[in-house]
Amino acid sequence: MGACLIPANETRIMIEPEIRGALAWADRREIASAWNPESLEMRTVLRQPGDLAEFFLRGRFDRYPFMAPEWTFSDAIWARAGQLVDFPKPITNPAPPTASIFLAFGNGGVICAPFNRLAYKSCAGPHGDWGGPEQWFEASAKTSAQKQVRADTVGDMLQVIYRDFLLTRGRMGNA
Amino acid sequence: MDQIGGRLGGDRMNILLEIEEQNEVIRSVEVELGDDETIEAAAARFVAALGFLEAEEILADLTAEGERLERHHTVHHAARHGRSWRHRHRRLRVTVFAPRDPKPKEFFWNRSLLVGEAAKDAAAAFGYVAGNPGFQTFSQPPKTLDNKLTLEAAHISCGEKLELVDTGGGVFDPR
Repeated sequence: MGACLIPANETRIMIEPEIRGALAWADRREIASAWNPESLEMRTVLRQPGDLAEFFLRGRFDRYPFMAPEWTFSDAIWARAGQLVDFPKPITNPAPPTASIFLAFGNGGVICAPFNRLAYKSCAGPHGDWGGPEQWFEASAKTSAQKQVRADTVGDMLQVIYRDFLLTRGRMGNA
Repeated sequence: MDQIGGRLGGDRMNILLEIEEQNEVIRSVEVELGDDETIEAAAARFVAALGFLEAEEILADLTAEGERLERHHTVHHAARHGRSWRHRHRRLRVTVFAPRDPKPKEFFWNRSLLVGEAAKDAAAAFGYVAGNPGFQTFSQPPKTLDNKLTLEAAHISCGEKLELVDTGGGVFDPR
């Protein structure tokens, strides 16, 4: 619970090397990604294979790394988030090599991985079995031992989200 | 006694080993050797200095001025053909990027190495301590390689660029 007391400045300093890695990753992939150190927010625009439809991935990093960041898909003006219409839909044919981390849950979509605050039950997500989002590192260790996804830095999180994004077509919901 | 004395008091010389790939020298290392050392012993010294390759690989293709050097030859004998020796390597040179690091690293892997083993090797070099590492290509669209294939079977070619990605599954199976 001490995680709640982490000042933004501390997060800013600690996350900076990770942001450099993440932005270099985006450059290599020719993906538009911007980091706002004031709001501790990362905005990334992904283009879906096929029709190149744009999806707007938002990461929020307040209290990071003591608390898992908050990853979700937003609308094009970065206003609303978590709606099915803004989430990419996993393909089933051809079947991906692994289950997707994109999940329809409740009335919206969620990126279901231990590195996402929004996947935890205490943050309205599906997982009550991972503890709280301040225990995300322990949850990651546990799930990766079960051959489930692990990403411990901002760049690694982006890469894993991108990995599964490449195995999507269309949207989870209609406008 | 003369023989022993001669061995202990033998001349020393610097030998340059150039590693060749597709008619280009991609690495070189200079090692000081005793003139009565065998080529086999010299190969072990080159391996220690290079930090990659194995002595047997070097011995399989080692020349000086086009003359093949045999393991039982002495450095003195080989140096008659010059002090610049050459090895044509048969490994795959792969440049690996990691989403957490702006700078890539270079690896020389046997073609028969499994993708998953190579990924673990690269992940360790980048400081990953857990997870299920694999590789993603830079093709359009990028593909995640099958960890169970050999590098050769995965059609990795010399000079290829790959990016580390965690291959752990999500928690949602859409099938």
